[in-house]
Amino acid sequence: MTQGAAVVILLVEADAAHAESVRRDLAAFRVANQLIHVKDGQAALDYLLREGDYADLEPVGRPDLVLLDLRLPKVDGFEVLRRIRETESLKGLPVVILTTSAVELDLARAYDRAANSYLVKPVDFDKFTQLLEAFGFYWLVWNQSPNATGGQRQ
Amino acid sequence: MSERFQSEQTRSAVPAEELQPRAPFAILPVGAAVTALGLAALLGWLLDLPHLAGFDTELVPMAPSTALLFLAFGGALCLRARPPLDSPAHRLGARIGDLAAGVALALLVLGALGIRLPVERLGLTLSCNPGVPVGHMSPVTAVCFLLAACAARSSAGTPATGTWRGLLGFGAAAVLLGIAFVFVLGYLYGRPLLYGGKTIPMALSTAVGLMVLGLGLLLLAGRRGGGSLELHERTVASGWLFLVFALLAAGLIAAGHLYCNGYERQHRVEVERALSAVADLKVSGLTQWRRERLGDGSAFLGNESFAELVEQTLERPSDPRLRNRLQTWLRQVRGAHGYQTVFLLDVGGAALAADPAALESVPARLREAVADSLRLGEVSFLDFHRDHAEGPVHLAVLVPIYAAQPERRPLGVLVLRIDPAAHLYPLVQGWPTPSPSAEALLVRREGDHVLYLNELRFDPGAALTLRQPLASPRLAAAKAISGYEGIVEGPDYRGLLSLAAVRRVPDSPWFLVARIDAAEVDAGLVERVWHLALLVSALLAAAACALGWGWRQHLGRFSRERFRAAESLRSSEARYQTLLENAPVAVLIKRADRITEVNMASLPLFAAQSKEQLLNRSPFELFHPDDHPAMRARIGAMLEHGDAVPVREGKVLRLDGAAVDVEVTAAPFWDQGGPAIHVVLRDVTERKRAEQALRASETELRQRHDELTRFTYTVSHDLKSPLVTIQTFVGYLEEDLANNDRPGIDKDLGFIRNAAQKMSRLLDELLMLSRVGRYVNPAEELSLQEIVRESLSLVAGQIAERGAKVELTDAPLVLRGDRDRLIQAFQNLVDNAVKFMGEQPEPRIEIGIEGSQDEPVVFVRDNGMGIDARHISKVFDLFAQLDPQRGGTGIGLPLVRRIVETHGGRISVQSEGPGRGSCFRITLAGARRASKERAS
Repeated sequence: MTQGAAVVILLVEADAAHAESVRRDLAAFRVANQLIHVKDGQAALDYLLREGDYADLEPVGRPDLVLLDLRLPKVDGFEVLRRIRETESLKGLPVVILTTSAVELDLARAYDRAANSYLVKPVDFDKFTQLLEAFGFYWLVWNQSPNATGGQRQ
Repeated sequence: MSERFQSEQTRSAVPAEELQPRAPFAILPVGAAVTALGLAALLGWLLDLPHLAGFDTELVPMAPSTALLFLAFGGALCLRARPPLDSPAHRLGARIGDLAAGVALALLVLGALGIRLPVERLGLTLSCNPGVPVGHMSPVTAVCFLLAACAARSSAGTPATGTWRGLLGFGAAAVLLGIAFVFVLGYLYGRPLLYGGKTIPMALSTAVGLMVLGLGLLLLAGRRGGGSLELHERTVASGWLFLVFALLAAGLIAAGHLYCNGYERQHRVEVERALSAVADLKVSGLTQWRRERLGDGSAFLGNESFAELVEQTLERPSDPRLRNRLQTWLRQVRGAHGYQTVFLLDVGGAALAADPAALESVPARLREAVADSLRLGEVSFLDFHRDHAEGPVHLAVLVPIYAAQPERRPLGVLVLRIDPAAHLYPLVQGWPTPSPSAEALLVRREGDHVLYLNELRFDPGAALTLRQPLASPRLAAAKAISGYEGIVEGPDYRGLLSLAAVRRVPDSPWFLVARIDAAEVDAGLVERVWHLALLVSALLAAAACALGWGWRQHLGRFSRERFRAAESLRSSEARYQTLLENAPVAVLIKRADRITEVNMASLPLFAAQSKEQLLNRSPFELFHPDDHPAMRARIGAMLEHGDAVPVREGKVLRLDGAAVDVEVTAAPFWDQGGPAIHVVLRDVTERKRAEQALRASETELRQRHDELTRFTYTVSHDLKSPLVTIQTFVGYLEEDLANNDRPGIDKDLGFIRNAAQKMSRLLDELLMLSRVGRYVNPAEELSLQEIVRESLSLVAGQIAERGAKVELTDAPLVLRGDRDRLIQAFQNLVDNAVKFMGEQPEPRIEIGIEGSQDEPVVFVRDNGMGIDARHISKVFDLFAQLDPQRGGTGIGLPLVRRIVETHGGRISVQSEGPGRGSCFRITLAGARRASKERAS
């Protein structure tokens, strides 16, 4: 674990406010070098698969982790997760669900599609901050992934 | 065909029976038999054939008058054998019967008065010898004919003519039958009744004829019993009954016959014993009598003093003292032993003395006997003799008298003359028991003849005059003389049959015959036969009554059972008809490819006015052609296996040609001797409609449920999301306030404000959505233009802001529904179009009508962003925002869809692709169909 290592997080979040709060918290704890934010499922897939608007996005590497909301325009979070797990090159990519939904059904569906973690956005500023702090340390500092770029670069 | 069908066939094949009362089938043969008997008897008389008229020359033949009456009654019976009862033949039969009865009555009265008219014989003669007058009707026969006429008259009417007449007829016929039967039994037991009496007996052929006649009349009288019976059943049952009766009768008659024979043998033996005993008694008495007579004579044989007195008298005939002594001797002999006369004759035959003295003349016969007696030298009998032809019969004991010195010089003969009438005849004739015909007779041989010695019971003056040849066959006296001792059966001196015991009287020329008339012997027997015949007849009558009673019981039970069966069949039929007519389902019966029966419920199903419209049609006419192959297969299967086929759904064709969904049940059965099929049809239109409605409502319910699920969990996300934003940015705001970061503060407040607004809008739209589906306002007729203009005014701000141009068609279209909801739908569609105009420099929204007049389609077309084909299926999903930038809540289009659907319409969207605009099409229930909605 080295401070300042280039860790790329793909944030898939429709709500601009939520995206802003995630960005601010992660920046405050300095766990992410780069936070890429897309606003819908389609954009997320395009980014990961280098398609559509992101077809010629060469210099930007593959993200080390995906922070994925479930309620997304166009293509929802479950579909994005399914596509990630179905794609050979993305299979091992850690995907952490970050959503407002605490519904059992969503939880079950997410894990069913091999989500790595499921986090519910707390309706409380302090808890929200603590959650993102813990998340940052756990996933970006302590957690080892087989093919995560973050891990390899250490 | 299957077994089931076979059994039903036999069950249903009950032949129709004849209910009309009818004369028994046996009447005609009975009548014919009676006529034939009469004819045979007449022929016998005409041709002088006794066997035709009376079976045997020893028996009485049927009188010609009787034969004529038989002809009359037989003819009457034949005439009445055929129905109807009121035909001229019947009336003629009745007249003939009356006439015959008149003749019989006349003959009976004449017979009772003892008048036997020769005209009764019709001038005919018959060579037979039954021992009774022939050619006249027996009074018994006449009575029988009267009974027959009575029975015939009583049973002549219809069965409705009252019970007492029937009973009278039955009774008369039964009595007639009984009388005839008794006489037949008499003949059968070998003792014909009434023979030998004063009354003319009934001929055997007459008795047989009367029996047959009685039987026929009995049948005629009894015919009213079993009119309701099936012929076959009756014949079989009565056949059995007749067999039982015949066996019983045969047994009784045979038993009677055996008893009669046994009794006759025993009786005969007893009579023979009695005869033998009497004969033996007589013989011993006669022997004793003779010995005594000889003994009387012996007292003088060798009596020296008497011989001396006779000798002295011969020497001194005029000596009065001697004569007196001699006279005293003679008187003493006569007085002591009861001789008629005592003579003392000299060797020349002249009377020396006599007692009584008056009779001095010596009969010639005695004089002749003197020499024989003297020659014999012993006491001897002079057998029965007469002095002259008309004189009385005498016997005499001759005692020769010899002188003592010189030795055996004949002196004369003492004659002890006997009058047989005094002692001997009573001794012979006396009979130990009273008897009208029994007698004993004494005979001796005289050359080739039998000479009767005593006076005969039935032939006075026969003594010594009646002679009969020894050669006479079976003559008891002749057999006795020929040396036979024992029982002889044969004609007696009168030629009448008699039974006799014959004996020889020892030491005499006499033979004794103890005889009795066979008729007297038989008289006891005949009496027995009378009793027996009456007893047998009574027993048979009792048996017949018992069997008849049993038969009536059987008939009664049988008809009760039949009645019950018919009743149950009728009620079952009635139940079936009631069930058929009142069944709520249509029932058809098909026979031989035709509809033969339909019930009332079939009429509405086929839209028919009367049953006749459906009857006699082919079942295929009534069913939809699509069902015909299945029908053929099912009919074939039913006829082959005889089993019902499973329920099937099909379509019938009403008479007006419309098809109706039905459920068909069919079962084969056997109807009126042919295979038939029961078809039950149930109209299932309503059920199908209900099923469809149920399916639709189920789909709708499932949709609602899905929507609700999505709603619930989306709400948990979408409502929470702004809260998270507000909470988080309030936290940042505090930090920024602490750092006095002005731009940060503004940004935080902006996020918080946006989140609050979003939440507010979300809550508004959720409320709106929840209201849709619950009709608030009543349905009304609305024009499209009115609705659209109203909605455009509500979104005029957005339209103007974006600078969009809206075109609305002028084509009239009347919508029906909730005004506010419809406005809301168009408002949302236009709002949606404006919102997603994209970068279009000339935004345009077109609202128009397309499609047919019956199903008009309203479209809302724009030239905006269009929809990516990948996401087009999601546009109507709740909270499915395709573009978060546009600030939608994801409720607008789902709301439109719900409004359209609650108005019975459909909504669809079409887009050529991103940037090429989109088109929403709405099909609303038209004006005409709007009335069908659940508006009220």
